[in-house]
This record gives sequence, C-alpha cells and structure tokens, in this order.
Amino acid sequence: MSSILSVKNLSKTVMSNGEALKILTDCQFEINAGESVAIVGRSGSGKSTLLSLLAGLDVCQQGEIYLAERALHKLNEEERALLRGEKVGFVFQSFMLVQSLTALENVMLPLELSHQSHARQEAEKLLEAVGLADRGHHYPNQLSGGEQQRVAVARAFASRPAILFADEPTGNLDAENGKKVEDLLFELNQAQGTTLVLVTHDINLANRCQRQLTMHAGKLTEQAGQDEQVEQAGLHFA
Amino acid sequence: MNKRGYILLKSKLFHPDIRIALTLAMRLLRQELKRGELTIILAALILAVSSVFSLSLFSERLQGALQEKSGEFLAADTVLSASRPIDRKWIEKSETLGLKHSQQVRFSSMIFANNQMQLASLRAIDTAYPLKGEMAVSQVAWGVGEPTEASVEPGKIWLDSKLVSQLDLKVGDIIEVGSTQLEFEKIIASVPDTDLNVFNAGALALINLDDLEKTNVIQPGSRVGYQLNLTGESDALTEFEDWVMPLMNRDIHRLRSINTDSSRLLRAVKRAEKYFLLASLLGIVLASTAIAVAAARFCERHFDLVAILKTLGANQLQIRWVFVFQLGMISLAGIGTGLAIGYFAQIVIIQALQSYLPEMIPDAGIRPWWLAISTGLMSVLLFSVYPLLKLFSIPPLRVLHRQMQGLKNKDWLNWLFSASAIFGLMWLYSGSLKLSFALLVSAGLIILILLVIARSAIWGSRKAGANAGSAAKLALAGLYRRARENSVQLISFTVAIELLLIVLVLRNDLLAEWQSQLPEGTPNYFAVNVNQSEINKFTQAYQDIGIEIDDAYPVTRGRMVAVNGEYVRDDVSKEKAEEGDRDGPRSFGRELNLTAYPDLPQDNTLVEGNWWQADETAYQVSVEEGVANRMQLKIGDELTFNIAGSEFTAKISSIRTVVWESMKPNFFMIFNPVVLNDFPSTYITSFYVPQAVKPELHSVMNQFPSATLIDIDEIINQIRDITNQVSLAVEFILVLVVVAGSLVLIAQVQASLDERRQELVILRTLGAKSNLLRNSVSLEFMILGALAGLFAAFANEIALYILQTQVFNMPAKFHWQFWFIGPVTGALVIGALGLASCWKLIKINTQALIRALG
Repeated sequence: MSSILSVKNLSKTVMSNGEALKILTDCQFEINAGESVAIVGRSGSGKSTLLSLLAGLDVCQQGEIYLAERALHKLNEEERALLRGEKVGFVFQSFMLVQSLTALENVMLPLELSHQSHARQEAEKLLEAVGLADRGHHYPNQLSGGEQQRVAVARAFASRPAILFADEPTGNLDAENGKKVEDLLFELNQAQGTTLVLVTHDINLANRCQRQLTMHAGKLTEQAGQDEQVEQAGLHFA
Repeated sequence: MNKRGYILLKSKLFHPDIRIALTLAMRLLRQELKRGELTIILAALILAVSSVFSLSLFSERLQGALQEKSGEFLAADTVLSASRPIDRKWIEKSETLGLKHSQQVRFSSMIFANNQMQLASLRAIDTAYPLKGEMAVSQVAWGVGEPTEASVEPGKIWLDSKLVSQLDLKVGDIIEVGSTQLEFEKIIASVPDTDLNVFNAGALALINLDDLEKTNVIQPGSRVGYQLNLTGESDALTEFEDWVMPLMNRDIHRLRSINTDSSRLLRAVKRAEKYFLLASLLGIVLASTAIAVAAARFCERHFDLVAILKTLGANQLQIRWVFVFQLGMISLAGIGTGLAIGYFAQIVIIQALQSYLPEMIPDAGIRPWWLAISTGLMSVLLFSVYPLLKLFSIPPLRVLHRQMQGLKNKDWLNWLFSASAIFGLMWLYSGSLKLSFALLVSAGLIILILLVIARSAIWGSRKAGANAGSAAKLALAGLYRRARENSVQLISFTVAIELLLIVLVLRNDLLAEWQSQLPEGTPNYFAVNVNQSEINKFTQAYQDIGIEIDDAYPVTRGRMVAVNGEYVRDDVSKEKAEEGDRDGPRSFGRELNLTAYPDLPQDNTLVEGNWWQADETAYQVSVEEGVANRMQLKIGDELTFNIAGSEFTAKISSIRTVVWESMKPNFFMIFNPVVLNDFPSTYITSFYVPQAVKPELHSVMNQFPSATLIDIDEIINQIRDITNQVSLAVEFILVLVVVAGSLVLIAQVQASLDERRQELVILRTLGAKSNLLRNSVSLEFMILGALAGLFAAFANEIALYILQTQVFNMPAKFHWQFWFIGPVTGALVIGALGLASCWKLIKINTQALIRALG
C-alpha cells in the first residue's frame, strides 16, 4: 500500500507567557492509503495540534509533512486550501455546519467549491446514505446533534477525499448516536477507500481503527497495547 | 432564485469561483434575512439613506421655497441699483444669460389732484414688475389688500392709501405728475419690496416706465434711483453677478441678492440652514455609526463560516466574493429601499404640511439622489473594510480553536477607516473641508477623553461591586470583565445621547427665539413724521379707536462728528455700519436719526453704565452695543454731534443692546430729554392695529396730513410663515435624529449579545435564577446608560457652548436640566433596551440556550 501521509521530525513550539512551550516533539510516522488510524492521548497531550498540522489547518514550523504526495510544509495558505478541497475531509466534535444553509446545501458545499457538476444529486445520495434523505431541507438548528453529525459526515465524504480527519467525532453525542456516526465513518471508509485519521478519547472507537498512535506530552508512540493505553492516556470506555 | 437570476448564474460571464460565491451568498442571505440577522445593518442603511435623501430632498425643496419667499422681499432674486441709468449692455448680458428682468426708476416728486399737492415716492415700473412676490390692492384707502396680477399700464397711476386720503381721491380721478396727466386706477395696499427703512418711507405712487419721460420730472441733478431686477437660474445669476461686479462703481452701483441680503428674514433662514446642516450631519454620523456597529457584528457572526469554508478548501477569491456579494446585495436593497422610503416620506411630509408651506414647492435637483446613494455606499464600504479584512484573515484553525481571531493589533486600521468614512460623509454633505476637519478633530478629542473617563469609571465600578448585593455584584463584575468592549459601547451610547441632546436643545432654543421675536400683538404699523405739536392729539386719536400708543420718540436728524474731540467722520462709514449684519438704520456715516427719551425703551437692555434721571441736565447719550464695539466707544467718552449746524457734546453714560427684530423704533443713539429740547423734531411710533380696526385708520390719518403710516403686517406675516415652515422642518429632522440615535443604541446592545449569551449559559448551568440574571443584565445596562447620560450631558454642554456662540450667534445657556435628564433617560432607555434584547435568552431553558450557541 502506498503512503498517503508521511510525517518526519515534526515539532511545534508556542509562546506562552513569554516562555517557549513545546507542544509536539519530533513526531514521525506514516499512514497508508485506506488505513484507519486513531490518535489517542490525555487532554493537552497535543492530539488536536497534531491533527491541525496534518490536515494543513495550521502552519508547520519544524519538520516535514507529505500529504497525498504533496509537501504540505512547503505550501502557502491558498495551496493548502486547494489541497484540502481536493484530498481532505473533516468531521468535528462541534459539527461545524453552516447554520444558514440547509443540510443538503451543507453537503453540496465542498462539491460546489471544487466546481464539481451534479453537486445536488451527489449530495442527495450522500444524505440518503447517512439516513437523512428526508431532512435535506432542514437547517442545522432543526436537527438533533446526532443528525447534525451525520450531515457533517456526509459533507466530509462528499468530495470523495483521499483522507478524512475527525476530531472527537462522537464527543458531543450520546451512545446511540455516537455508534451510528461511528458506523457511518467506517462504512464510508470501506466503501470509498478513504483513509481515516481520528482523534478520540473513546476507546471503542479507537479500537475499531487498524492502528493507534498515542500522544503523551507532545511525543508519539505507536501501537501500544490496549491496557497500557488505558493506563497511560487515562482513557475510559464510553 | 428566479429564472433570470438562474440564467445569469448559468451564463459564462462570470469566473466559476465568482459564480459559486454568488450562489452561496444568495443562499446565505435568504436564510439570514429570514432569521433577522441582517435587520440591524439593513435598518441602519435604510435609515441613513432615507434620512439623507428625505432630508436633503425636503430641505432643498424647502430652501428653494424659502428663497423664493425671500426673493419676494426684493421682488427679484438679484437687484442691481444705481444712481445713474443702468448700462444697456448690462441688461443685454442678463438677456443672453436667459435671465428675466424688470426695470424701475425711483424718485420723489409732487403730485397734483383736486387742486391739492402732495410729495410722493414715485416708482416708474415696467409690466414685468414684480418678478417675485405680488402686489396687493384694496378697494378703499386703508382697506384690506387683495393680491393682483395686474400691472400699471401706460397712462395709469396707482397710489397708496395715504395719498388717496390726503388728496381725497376716487378711482378715475386725473393726477398730474410733472408735465403729464395720469388716471388714478388702483389703491396700493402693499408691494413686495416695501422699503423697510421707516425713516425714509414716503407715500407711494406707481406709474408705468413708458410714462416717465413724459413727466419731465427727471432733470440733470435730480436724485433718482435706477433699479434692474433679475430672476432666473442660480448659475446664470451667479454668472451675471461675477460678470458685472468688476464693472461696477461702488459709489454708483449696489448689488443685492437673496443670498447677500442681510434682512432679519434671511438671518432666520440662514440660521435654519445651519441647523439643517448640523442636524443632518449628526443624523448621518449616527446612522453610519449604526451601520459600522452592524457591519462589524455582521462580519463577526461569519468568523466560523469563513473558517469552515477555508477548511473545506474554498480559496480567497471565493471567500471574498461571498461577502462582497452579500454586502453588495444588502447595500443595493438598503439604498433602494432607503431611496423609496425617503422619497415617499418627503412627499407625505410636504402633503401633511401643505397648509403651512408655500403653494409652489420647487423640485429638488439631482444632489439629494447622489448624496443619498453616496452616503449608503460610503457607509457600507468604509465601515466594512476593517471588519471584512478581519473576516478574511480568520485562520481555518478556528474550526478547532473557536477563540482564534484574524488581524491582531490592527485596531488603528479600524479607526483610520472609520474616521475616513465619517470625514468623507461630513465633507460630502457639508461641502466644507474646514468644518468637516474641525468636527472630526473635536470628535476625536472628545472620544479620547471619554475613553479615559469610561475606563476609569468601569474600573471604579469593580471596587463598588465588592460590597454590593448579588445582582449588582454580577452586573459590576460584568462591566469590569468586558471593560474594553464596554468602554467602546459607553462611548457609542454617550455620543448617541449627546448628539440627540444637541439637536434637541438647539431645536428648543431656535424655536423659542423665533417665537419670542414676533409674539401676538407685535406692532404692525409704524407712524412717522408726526408733528411735535400734534403728538398728544395723535395719541389721543388712536386711543379713541381703541389703540394704545405707549412709546413715541422724537426724531431729529444729525451727524456724529467727533469722539473725545477727535473728528471721526471717515471712521464711521456706511460700510462699517453695515458690517454689523443689520438692516435697521442705514443712515450711519451720513445722518443719524437721533432721539431723546426719559426711560430705557422696551426690548433694550443696559450692558454697561446707568440710565439717567428724567430731569438730568448734563448732556448724556446711550450708545447701542454694536456701534460702541465697532467704534471702540466706552463709558465716559464724549461724542460731539451736529444738528442743523449747531454742535453739542454729550458724554456716554450707558451702552445697551437693541432687539432689532422687535418691530419697534430702535436707535443707535438716545439722549436724555434735555439734549434735544431746543431742536425741532418729528415723532415716530409703532403700534398694533387689529384687522377689524383697520378701516378706521382712514379717518384718523386724515386728521394728520403730514404723518405717514406704514403697514408692516405683510412683512410680519411673511416672517411668521417662514419661521413656521422652518420650525416644522426642524421637528422633522429631530425625529430622524432620534430614530438614528435609537438604532445606534439597539445595534450596540445587539453587538454584545453573543458574548452575553455564553455567559448566561454558564450562569444558568450553575443554577442562577431568572430573577438574578434579569436584574444583573438590567443593572449592567442601566449603569452603562446612566454613565453615558452623564458624560453626554457634560459633552453636550461644551459642544452647545461652542455651537451657540460660534455658529448660531445665539447667547450661550447652561442646560442644567440635562445633567438630570441625561443619566436618568440613559439608564432607563439603555436598561430597557438591554433587558429587551436579552429577554429571550433569560427566558429560554439552559438546553435550548446551549443549542442556540451552535
């Protein structure tokens, strides 16, 4: 399998109260196309920072990131945006739907931004796939949390991304809705061959992934045993 | 989307990114409009445009009407008078410029009828007279005048009531004027360009210009006045004035126009214009402030959207166009609606005020249109630049860290764009770079001072909060926590309240001053040339018909020749006397109308010195303040006068102010009675004659053939009409400014709601009861309102002092009541607005509140 994401010597330092604070230290790993990978770790361990760098949302200061064969660390903001539009999908804990657009329009959004034709038909199919065919004309505030996250999942897969980043995708949902969203992510991952990179506290979700990367004080360790993870990361069963 | 829009979208005219941005912008707008999120920005824009449009449309049309009315006092727009015949080339020039003209020749001559003769002020007029206003004629002498469009035809003569009475004439009688005979046709009740100088007034007779030569009255050396009256487009008039000025000889020619004439009426109109300008400027500043606040909020509410769009791969072009289209469409809708509302508002107002306004309201030009459109565009563009830059710079990372903002430490950019917008708007509207700059700098200074005071007050509130009850503690803590936002909000509230107070106070002061100038019972007749021996009989005769004459002044003409023994004739030129913006006495520099009186006349106020005892034997004189200032005269100075060859000296014992608009005899110099005892004099007085008594004047005046009665009813009515019209316009502007001010307050309160919503969620989650939340929210806004009201009263006092003394030439007053009204109204209004805006948030349950946070 070919590598879709490659990280070399990635470090990140921020200034806090005049002092340099190292958030990430020499992270190094590769993710193959079609893989599902969970990034786990305690709060404040640097998971979200890592995710933001991998997805090109933040600027890489030190180290190298190769995403879909592009040197992400060398791209400017506009180029990163283009790459995100073409290759990357996102699912966030707080859904991040556009409140002034209907569910259908939210799903159409990435397709239209990348000038894809038949955006409406594609979006309708995706909504059907996430079980919301009849809620397409509802606005986010007319949907439940679970439904909103399903719309977000449909939107994330709309442009058939090579890689999907999800930040605590079930964090704001109850167990039932969390399970539905989880299933959806893996079904679409399988169906479209999309690489899945999840940041999560949910051990069940992490266990469904093929690989787990554990963050601890800005450092990354891979494929630790499940018990060890629970002990190190303070994880709990959702 | 309609079919046309769809076709437009589908067309290949647009870059695909722009097409997508347009689609997205329209989708977003549709829902945001439904959810009321654009209400404030749209309302502010509509208000700014409609108020500028209706105001400028209304005031332009009203000013046109007022100028038309003012023109009636000259019977033209421009009058060129000369002591020699007016050059034919000048008349031809006016014709080539498309101006209408009318000529008249003024002279005094004896007229003969029924074997009697009388001195008359004759005017030879052409049939075009009057170019503005109208003549009125009456059926009987001293009767009520009725407007006439007829003109004096060759062979005819029109005479005023005095001549008709004195010569005992009836219509059809033959009148001899010089070597010609004319038929008496009509009794003149009034002419539009009545000579307001009552001392020069004589009995009026009108003949046709073609008959002038036949009279043979005008001989070399005759004292004759030639007049060319002009009317037409203002550009053409200005061109004529610019052309003729260099050709004029100051000793021979004089040019007057409705813009240069310094009559009391014009002063009222000019003052009203200044008020219009100032109030409109303040209204625009308020409305554009509301737009600024709303535009900033509009952009802030889209921070998440930009982060999402960037995350989903939208490029800068797409993002920029989404918001450019949205603001463009908002501007289009706001400006279009504003123009429509403004236009109809102006029509409704004019129709509602139809009975008070002149019959013909001229159409306004193109200026109100471009002014309103530019105001809308400039407000949206300049006030949106910084919020948009901030919006475009939102990092995509905000999707993970909601606290992330764009553009840091670039607040100066915001101030720069806002200041440019306000300066641009003021300049656009006032056309005065100096005024706009002065207002901007003073506003900047006031804001700086207020910022310091506001911060101190908010910090002070923290200490006060330590000992307060729970709701108060929460309110004061809230004030302190949002110190930066609250100080900006406090300044906005202060400025809004201050501007409202300024407009309100000026409106009250202006109206009060206008109303006090011409109260009911203001004298409507002047009697001049009443013989010294007949004054008691004259007073008695009027008393018999129920008219009380309180003050009759002896008048003797003389010159002031020296001050403290130094001859000053050259210093007291006519021009210098006129510099004082007076149209009252015009004889200064030649002969003065001197009077002597035992008491200080009504409406005169001593500003220095003491009034004399009636039996004082030392020669004393009281000088009008303006003259004293211009000639640097002071108490104790000795003034030497020459009356009919005899000189005497009097010491200045007092300096007094005079109300020139009082419609009573007023004098620059008043002596104590002993001074004029030895000089012959005639008397002048003024009194009020009710309409019903007017027919009896005929028989009274017949007993005093030498006296002249001057009817100034028409002038008083015209002044009253104009001040009424101006007052109504002032009220209209006040309403607009109040609405604009309220919108600023609402926009500011709305702007702070998002943050308050989050706080309320936390407090509700922690178990705070609705009562506590309601009280703390109300208290926080009430404290802000009270502080804003207090600061506004302070700033108002300073601004009003400057405006009243420097701009409106009115006496400055201390407005103590606003130190109370300001804070109380501020607390109540802003407290209520704050509570009303947060009401929904306080009422809904925590779960719904969390959900509303998105």
